Amino acid sequence: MVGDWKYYLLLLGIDMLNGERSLPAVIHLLRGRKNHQVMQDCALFGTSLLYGELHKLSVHQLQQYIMELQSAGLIQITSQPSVFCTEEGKKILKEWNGENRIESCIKAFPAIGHKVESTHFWLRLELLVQTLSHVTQGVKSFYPVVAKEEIREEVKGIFYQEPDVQNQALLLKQEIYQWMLTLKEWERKIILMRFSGKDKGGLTFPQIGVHLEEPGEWVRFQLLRLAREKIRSLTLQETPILYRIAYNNREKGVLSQSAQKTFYLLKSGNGLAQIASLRGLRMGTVEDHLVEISLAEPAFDITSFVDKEKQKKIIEIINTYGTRKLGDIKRLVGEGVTFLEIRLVCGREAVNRGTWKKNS
Amino acid sequence: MEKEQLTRALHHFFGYDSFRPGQWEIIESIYAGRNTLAILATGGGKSLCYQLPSLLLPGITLVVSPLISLMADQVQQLKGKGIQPVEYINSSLSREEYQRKVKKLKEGRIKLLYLSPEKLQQDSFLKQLSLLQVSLFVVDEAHCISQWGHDFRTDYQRLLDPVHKLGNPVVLALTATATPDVRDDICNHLQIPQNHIIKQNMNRINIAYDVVNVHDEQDKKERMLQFLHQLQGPGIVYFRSRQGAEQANELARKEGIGRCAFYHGGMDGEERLLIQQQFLMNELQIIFATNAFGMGIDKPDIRFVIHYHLPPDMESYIQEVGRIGRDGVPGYACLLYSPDDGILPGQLIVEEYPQPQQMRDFLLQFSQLPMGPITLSLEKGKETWGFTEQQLSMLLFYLEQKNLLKGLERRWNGWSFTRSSLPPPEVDELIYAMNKRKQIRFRRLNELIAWVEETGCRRRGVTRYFQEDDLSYVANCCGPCGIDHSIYRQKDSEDGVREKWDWEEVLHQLFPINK
Repeated sequence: MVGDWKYYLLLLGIDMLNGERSLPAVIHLLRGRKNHQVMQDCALFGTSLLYGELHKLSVHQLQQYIMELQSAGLIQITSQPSVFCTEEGKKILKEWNGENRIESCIKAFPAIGHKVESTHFWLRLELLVQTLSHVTQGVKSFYPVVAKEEIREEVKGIFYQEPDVQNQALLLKQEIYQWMLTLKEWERKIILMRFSGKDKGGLTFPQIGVHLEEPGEWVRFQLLRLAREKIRSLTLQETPILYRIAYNNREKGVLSQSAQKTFYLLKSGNGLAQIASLRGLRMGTVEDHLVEISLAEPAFDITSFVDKEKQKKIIEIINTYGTRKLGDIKRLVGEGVTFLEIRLVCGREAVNRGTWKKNS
Repeated sequence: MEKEQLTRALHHFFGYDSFRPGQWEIIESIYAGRNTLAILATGGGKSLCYQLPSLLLPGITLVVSPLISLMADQVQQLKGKGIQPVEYINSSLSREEYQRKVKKLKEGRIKLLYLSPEKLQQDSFLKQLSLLQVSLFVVDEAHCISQWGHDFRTDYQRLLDPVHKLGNPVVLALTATATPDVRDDICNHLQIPQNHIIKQNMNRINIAYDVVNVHDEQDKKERMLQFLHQLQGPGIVYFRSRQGAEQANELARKEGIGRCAFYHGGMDGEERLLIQQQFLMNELQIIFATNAFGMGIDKPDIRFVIHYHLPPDMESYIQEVGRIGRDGVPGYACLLYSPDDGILPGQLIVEEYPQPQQMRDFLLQFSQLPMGPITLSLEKGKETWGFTEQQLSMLLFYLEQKNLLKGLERRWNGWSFTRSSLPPPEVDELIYAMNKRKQIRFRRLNELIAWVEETGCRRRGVTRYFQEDDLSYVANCCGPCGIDHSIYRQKDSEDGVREKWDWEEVLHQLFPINK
């Protein structure tokens, strides 16, 4: 198991969910299931980086690896049903954490949207660099290094926004140059080695890993972190090209498109039921959007959906009992509080704390 | 259309000045409206035979291909050449991508469409297609039609019906390798008259065939490394397992062999693209790969192919070594063989087919199904019986042939069908049918092993297998006939001094521009 990232990510995920979630929740997280509960958990427990990391493995395979962790005494699965790290597991995890050093990466991603945003930012950047490197040197056809068609379409759009190709390339070069100045040498290596251009093939993560004497998985996580940190510092004035790559005329933010529409209607003064009927959605879907908005938009005030009194009560319970199981909270808080209200408060509490479960 | 006109178009779209042997005959046959079977060696420029006409014919050209990754590659290559009205549709697409492509299709913005065969089994999709004028229906890798072929696909047996529904366009079947029995199967299935077969010589004159016998695994590794130290790249070493490819790469790296990488289907798409790119740009000299690598890669200067593991049959072997020297320069094909090497491909064949217990469980549940319409998802097949897609498809195909189910149709994530009232078959019958398939595969494996263990001329062995007689060659023939290895040795020093890392230089290399 040592050095095998799938076991590491499973154990880490289980530990971060802190015994408050069941086995399927762990599996959904690592397989990247598109589901509001999973997405909310990511914000609650700070597990966004792990989301979808083992999507290539089947449920069956993941169950098997989890069983192996159990037989090794690293985790325990109770009948409740929840799953948690044993003392031995925590000890091992601490060692693995020490070896793998991705804490800064985990911390960089408060919500799944941020991971998606960083991934897409990187892919667009990578493809635009490749495109401009070729086009400015007189080569019009090349094999794009990004397979996703939506990304290709987006990059095409960005490319055509600036008619002067040489100028666009020069600006991008300067922006990347300035960015590199802020980084450590190994961080620069990750980014620049990955880029492809006319006379340079980009390296895969394990190949970069060989240069840095690190595993490929580590390299990829660091790249995502670097992308995320860069996005946070972008401004339209100082880094117009990178800004365009990150936001590409979209509204700044990490909401899903559907949630964006709901948000828009909310801001125009519609109630939840109204939005549901306007958009022809189930009430539950609109509620999911609301939770998504509360997680992604720190400025969004939830008071009009949960009054201050109830918020206080729920937070008290979270603090007193140290639980984030919605069912438990609902039982403890008594009549008159809905699941939606609990979800909103839990989410907001995690956002406000700005931290999530420590993974040691 | 005149040859002159087509040659001009060839130059305009693809930049070639003339057709390669066989290509013109095939295109001419299409324009004459004849259903045609074309057998062209790998690297013989098969795809051009339909790509060029597709741009000039009035309607759309459909290309059925079994290889999803190959479709994406082909489309990418064409778009890279500035040929835009090409697309592919298969089950790997997300719903949004699929809808976007169908929209493009409806708007008439596609001239050449690659399809996976199961897509044609979806009624709704076929209806969309039938609204269009289809000029040409291409069956790529047509040997998949044949039960005797090395790569039988059940979906390929149902291609004629869509052809009829699409208004009987001209059919072009293409394959790189076809023994006479496979050829007959293709012609029968697709209604191609025997005199419409156009066949290119299979003999690749610039490839020297060699088999090196080794004692055991350790010996094999050492021989491989020895070759890698000596041979002029670029080259490919083929494995039957992903792990094998990765381990060999690790080993080579430790031995100081530079510029190598591994490649297999388990890697993320982006990573695979990067490796391909590095190989095309000659930044890599050696790829340790599974058979996922090579198809759709247009690299003319591959100098050697080494097989670390035995392929499943002669066709696969010839296809893989066929990537050598498409530019005509002599190249070297070597198969490393130890006495136990037949075991692994045998195991892999067995694993491809459902096990008796799985079939028993499956039939038991099948007999309890209601008589109405039923959908069966891939997920269910996997979770309940542990079937791969291929295995489930084989079983359903068998049941359909026995009239036990009707209206078998491919869905997004599985199949739908209606159970007939006939009683389900005895499990022994099913086991027998699967064993028969396995026997065919084993026979083909044994034919390859016989070739490997033979002491006579290897080129003669290959041509005999495909029932040909051309034995000509340039440079070297084969191991038994004697090989002058010096012509395959490294000419340039492979491991140049690694340049010092300077990030500003790297950035400048990407964008050699200044204010």
